[in-house]
Amino acid sequence: MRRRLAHALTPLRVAALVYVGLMLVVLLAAPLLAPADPLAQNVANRLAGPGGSNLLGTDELGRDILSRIVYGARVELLIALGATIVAMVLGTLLGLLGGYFGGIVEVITMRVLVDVLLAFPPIILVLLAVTLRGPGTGTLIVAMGVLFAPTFARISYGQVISVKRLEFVEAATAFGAPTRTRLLGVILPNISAPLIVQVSLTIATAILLESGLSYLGLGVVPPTPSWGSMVAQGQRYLSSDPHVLLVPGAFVVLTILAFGLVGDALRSGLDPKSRSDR
Amino acid sequence: MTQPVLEKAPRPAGTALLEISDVSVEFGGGKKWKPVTHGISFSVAPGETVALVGESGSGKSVTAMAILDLLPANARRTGSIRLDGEELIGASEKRLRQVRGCDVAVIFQEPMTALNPVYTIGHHLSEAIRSHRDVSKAEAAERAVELLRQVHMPSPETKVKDYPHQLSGGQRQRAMIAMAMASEPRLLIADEPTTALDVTVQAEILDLVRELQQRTGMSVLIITHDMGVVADVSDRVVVMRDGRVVETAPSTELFSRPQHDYTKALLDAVPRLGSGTTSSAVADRSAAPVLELEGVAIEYPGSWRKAGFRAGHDLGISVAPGEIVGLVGESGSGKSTIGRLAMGLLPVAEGRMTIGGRDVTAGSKADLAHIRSQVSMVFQDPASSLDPRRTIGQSITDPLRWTRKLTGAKACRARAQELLEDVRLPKEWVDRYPHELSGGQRQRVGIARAMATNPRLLVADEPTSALDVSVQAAVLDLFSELQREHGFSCLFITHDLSVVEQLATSVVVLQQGRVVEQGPTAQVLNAAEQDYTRRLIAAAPVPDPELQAQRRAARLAG
Repeated sequence: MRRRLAHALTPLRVAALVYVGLMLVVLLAAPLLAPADPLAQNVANRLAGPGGSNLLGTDELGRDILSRIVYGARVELLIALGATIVAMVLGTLLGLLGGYFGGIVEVITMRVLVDVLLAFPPIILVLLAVTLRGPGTGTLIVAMGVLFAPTFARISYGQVISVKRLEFVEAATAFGAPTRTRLLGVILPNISAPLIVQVSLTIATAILLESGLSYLGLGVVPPTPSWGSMVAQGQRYLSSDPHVLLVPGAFVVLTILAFGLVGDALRSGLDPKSRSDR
Repeated sequence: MTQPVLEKAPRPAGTALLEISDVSVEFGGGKKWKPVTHGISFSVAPGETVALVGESGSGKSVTAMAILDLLPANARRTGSIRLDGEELIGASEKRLRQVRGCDVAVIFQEPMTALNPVYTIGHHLSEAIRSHRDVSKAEAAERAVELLRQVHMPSPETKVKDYPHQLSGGQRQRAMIAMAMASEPRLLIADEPTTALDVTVQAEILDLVRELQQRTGMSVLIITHDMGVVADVSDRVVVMRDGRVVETAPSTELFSRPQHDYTKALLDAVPRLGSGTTSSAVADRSAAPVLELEGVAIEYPGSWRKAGFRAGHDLGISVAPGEIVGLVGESGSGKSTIGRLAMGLLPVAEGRMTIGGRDVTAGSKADLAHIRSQVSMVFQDPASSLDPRRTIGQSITDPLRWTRKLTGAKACRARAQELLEDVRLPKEWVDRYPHELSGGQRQRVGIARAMATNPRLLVADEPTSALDVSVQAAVLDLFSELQREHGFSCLFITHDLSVVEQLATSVVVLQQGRVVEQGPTAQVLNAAEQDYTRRLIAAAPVPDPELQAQRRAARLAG
């Protein structure tokens, strides 16, 4: 186990883990960490560059960008992680059941639920949810979770189809493993690698989609800061004051990258074959 | 003496078609290169058949692939490979392509994966013909039919329009050979060409290769692990081990007077049909049978629009306590199906099945629980029958955990260690993963898992067919020992008659889901009543060139 861990942790991945850890701290302790009130406007000091009294500068209303990043991280990560977890659990379950049982179960899970869901344009679907429930974090998590679930279902379905034919699954049946054990104890661990990779991709997509939705006014309600809406607003000042866009943009990129690397680390850490003893 | 080996005129020295000297293949990159073969040297004369034999990891395939530089990108070759005097190491990619297409042809082990599934056989052949000869499409199509006729493909005119999946395994290999012959090669490299085929089909393919060779005068380099195949076709044998040539000799000499210890050990390990039984199992016929099938039919369930497939008809088989019953037959004969039925993985469609005196025909939940307490199974390929994500200790005790016979991590671990020692593996290995073990060790783990529930009946489905002969011998010995110690009955499924002879007290011969013949081992193998059984016995190659030549003559005459 220790050797496996050592193999999975390259310096870059450690850096990513540290970054993700920091983000989680920020998520929990935003009010303690932010240097200023993210909503306090100071029009006299609008569009100040980074480095002065405001470490990362101010936006068009003179609000402290660093503080908005810190508070934004909270909303951003909560929605991205929440939506991904919902998508993963829901999608994997559908794929496992559809792939393993086939027949009528497959028709219900993969055709009726997953394919129909895929037929809707994502924005329309979220619009529908927001119209019905009103904008807010909870609505976004559930709506985006449902939206991303089909990808997980497709991946796990395909994997289950190929894994369930392997002899060790038949061996489990022969040796009396109950269905639940076969699904969750035997098949699931063996299809986890692509799902874990998908998790980091989904977190990234969720951050992007949330940004888009906030831009349309369907996401986080202003004035609550979110990275997506910060990028959207910063667009207008790209030529004169690029930092308004670049700072939140950089955080979006870094966060997506970090989650990708953490996904890689998890995948090789969980795979017994990636031990470096060859 | 009319030994086919001596039919060809002796060749003067120095006229070898293929001369391999001091060839080493290394894998790696940058500054780290790891050699896998060390200074291999041998030659193939025109018209000669040379067999490259060795167990897995001996470097035989790598050596053969090095000839045409078909090695992976992270490999390099050193030394000298001369084809008709022309140096191939360091030759240009263009020249190598010409050599590959024209002078040297290759056929592979698994024709299904070597043929492109979206093209017809005719398309494959035309491609091969047009790649090195400037002919029109119509001419190529004509020639394709001609080639198929040469390899004795039944109804070649219609077969050219077929796709690879529409042909049987033997026909696919014939098509591969036809493709190889398209360029009239001077050297044919055959990499385990019959390993994936049934014995009767194997015999036909080997006959074909021999016939083509005699007609065209090409040389053949055959790579195999099967000493029977070596004895059947080769003039000369190169024995490899751990990347080195340990012995090179004419095949008549090699089999009668092996010089190297490894060759001797290898030949000793090959089970020989006709050497008598060494089975120590004693059937207790006075007691009630452990497994009894009466008029059983087996069906693979279809889907809601498709009817099920019937894989067994009117089967009557009985296994007494302590008895080892060998189930033999070719692929598709239903032998594995019967194993799965006994394990409760398939329902009884018709007839009656009892296990340990209890009627389990209905297959209710209680019946299945009963089956699982009495029957256990060893699977064919230990590489895929063990969960790669679980340690071998966990895998071994899974049956106990799943049936709630034993719970608690400590108790399971202790039991796993005990079972590992039973199968002669160090108990410290309990935390290892399957990929850290060799094939033979993995199959020991598979046997330990099957023993975990102290079964009365063990279903062994081709447990040694994925293993090297020397490893197979050790695993079979272990199996016999365990059977003596624990006295379980066994349904031993195999395609290898010599293994059955060595192990089983009685034999059931299957063909297309029906029992063709059954009885005590010696009786069935020595005095077979049915044609099919006799054909099976005749087709199995024996590791003795002279005997094999006689058998071939008898087979071709009959």
